Parts: sequence; structure tokens; C-alpha cells
Amino acid sequence: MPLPDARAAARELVAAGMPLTGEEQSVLGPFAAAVADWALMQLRSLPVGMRIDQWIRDTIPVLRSQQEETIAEIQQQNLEATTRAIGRLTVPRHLAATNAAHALFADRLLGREWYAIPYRAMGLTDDGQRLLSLLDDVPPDPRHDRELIDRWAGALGMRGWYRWAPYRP
Amino acid sequence: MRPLFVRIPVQSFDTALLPPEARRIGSAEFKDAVIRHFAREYLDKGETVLVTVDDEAITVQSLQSAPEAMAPVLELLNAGRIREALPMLESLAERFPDDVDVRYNLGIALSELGRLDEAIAQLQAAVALQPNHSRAWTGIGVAQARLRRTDEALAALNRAVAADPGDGYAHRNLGAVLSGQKRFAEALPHFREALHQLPDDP
Repeated sequence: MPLPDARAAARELVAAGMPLTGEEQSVLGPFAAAVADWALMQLRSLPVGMRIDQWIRDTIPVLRSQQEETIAEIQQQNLEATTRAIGRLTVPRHLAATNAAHALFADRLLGREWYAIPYRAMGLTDDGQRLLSLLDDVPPDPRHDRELIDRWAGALGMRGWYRWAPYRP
Repeated sequence: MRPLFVRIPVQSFDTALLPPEARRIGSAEFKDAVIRHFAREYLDKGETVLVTVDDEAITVQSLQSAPEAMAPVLELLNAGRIREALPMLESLAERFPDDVDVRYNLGIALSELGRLDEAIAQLQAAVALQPNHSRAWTGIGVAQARLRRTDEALAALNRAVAADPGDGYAHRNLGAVLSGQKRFAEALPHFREALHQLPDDP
């Protein structure tokens, strides 16, 4: 579950010591909250989703074209999220590394170098590659999902943004 | 491949990817270098993209065909924004080397920027693709005339008039080059034809 510290941390990261205009001050709170929610959703979804994508690719070839279409949609959504801005307020660079990692993963999965181009232009591929290496380091089975997410969170500085809660149906 | 559309805030671009003289965000050199960066990156993957850079953001969108790609470039050219259009035309010429409109417009843009020998090469590529392209012949003639290669200019402009006797611009430029040679009697019918075809041309 997300912790209140997540939005406060995101607020600090978004402002990042910049002197803000009055207008920027007025939107900082909602923008930072949206960034925190988005970053947590990416953290929870992307690394495990990549494993699932790899499994589909390896084991269910009949789904390849649908998978490529879905990946394209996700990549477009990720780009829009990565480049979201209100004035000078932007998504903090190191948080956007999740999407760079996903783009690098998609290129690797599909055997092309296409989705990572915008992230290279934004100088995010080194950070993305570090996350991708963590994905490759953790054993690819559901028992290690939490470990994978925690390791990504550590790399992203988000370890204090959430805590694991027991599952209750 | 699904069409790409991405809008990147200018301050998010990694300027270390650009030549040192092009790293000041917002400068003309920055805009040119960013356009070339993306054009090259996607061209390497066999894709053509349209890149525009304004004071806030870089917009990159993929283009599937030469006519589709040319539409926004022509808007820039018609607005006199030739320097911005040039890198796009250069990438389009690499992507669509056999498209006569791309070659023609690249040639004219280069000519407008004073890069006359390069302009002539592109316009010659256009007439190689379409030998009766009177405007491309006119463009060659104008560029040759500006390089003071009068014989070559006259040859090209005569080809333009032969390709399209109703092309007022070809007549006007042929008349001008002949006048420059003090061949006024030969120039006169071309000026008359130009006036007939282009009565409102100053």
C-alpha cells in the first residue's frame, strides 16, 4: 500500500530546489501527487509485466501480433507520461527510468531498436539499463515478484514510498 | 508499425548528444541539431519522422509516405521557414530518394539558402526522375545564373520552357538571363509570355 511519504517525496523531487512561480506553486501539489501515484503504479506493474511479456513471447507464439500491438500502446502511454509537464514541472528523471527500462525491454523482446530512441534523447537509457539488469538478475518466477519490485524501488529511491500488506480477499 | 507521436520538453533533451556549439536550448543551432538527431536515429531504423522544435517542446511523429511527409514541410516552406524545413527535406530525400517532389523542394530550399551546387544536384535528380519538370529546370537555371554560369543557365531555362511553354516563371527567368547578356530581342518574347501567364507578378 502507498504511504503518505510518497507524495511528499514526489513533491520534493518535482520542485527539486527550483524557484517556482506562483502558478507553478499552485499546481505543484496535484502534479506531484499524480507523479507519485504514477510512479508507484509503474513500479508495481512494469517489472512483473515484463516477465509476463517474456513468458508469453517464449511460450505462446500465436499471441505475438497482439502482444506487439499491446506493447506499442503501452509505449505510447509511457512516453506521454514520461514527458508530462506543467510549465517547468516535469516527471523527475530517475523515476522516468522505469519507462526507459520498459522501452529497452520491448526493443530486446521484439528484436528492434525503436522504442528506446526517445529515452536515449532524454539521457535516460543508462538508468533504464540498470533497472533492466535487475530484472535479469532476479529469478523469473512469481515467488520473486516482491524481491524484484523491492530491488527496483531501491534503485529508484522509492523504498519508503510503500509497504507490503497481507493479501485479504 | 504503429505511428509514433512524442512530445518532449526541450529541457528534457540530453544536450550532451549534440555538438558543443548547439547545446544552448532555444538557439537556432539547438533546433537544427535536435531535428538532425531524431531524423538520423529513426532513418537508421528505416523510419521517417517529422521533427519540430519550438521554445517549449520537441515533437516527433512518424510519417508513412512521401506525400504525407511533405504536407507539413510545405507549410514551413510556404511560411518562409526554410532553415527549419531543410533537415526534414534532407531526411525525406534519404527515405524517399525517388520522390520527385521531395528532390525538387530540397533543391529549391538549398537554392534559397545559397547552397547552389547542392541545389543543382538535387534539382538534377528531380529532372532525372521527371524530365519534363519545368519548375525543376527553372530552379537549375536560376541556380546556375546565380553562379554566373550563363550557358548552363540558358540551357536549363530553355529546357524549362520546352517542357511547359505555359510556365510563366520559366519565361520570366529566361528573359532575365538573356537580358543580362544584352540579348534584349531574344528576351522580349519571354517577358511578354511571362506577363501573359503571370499578369499579377511584380
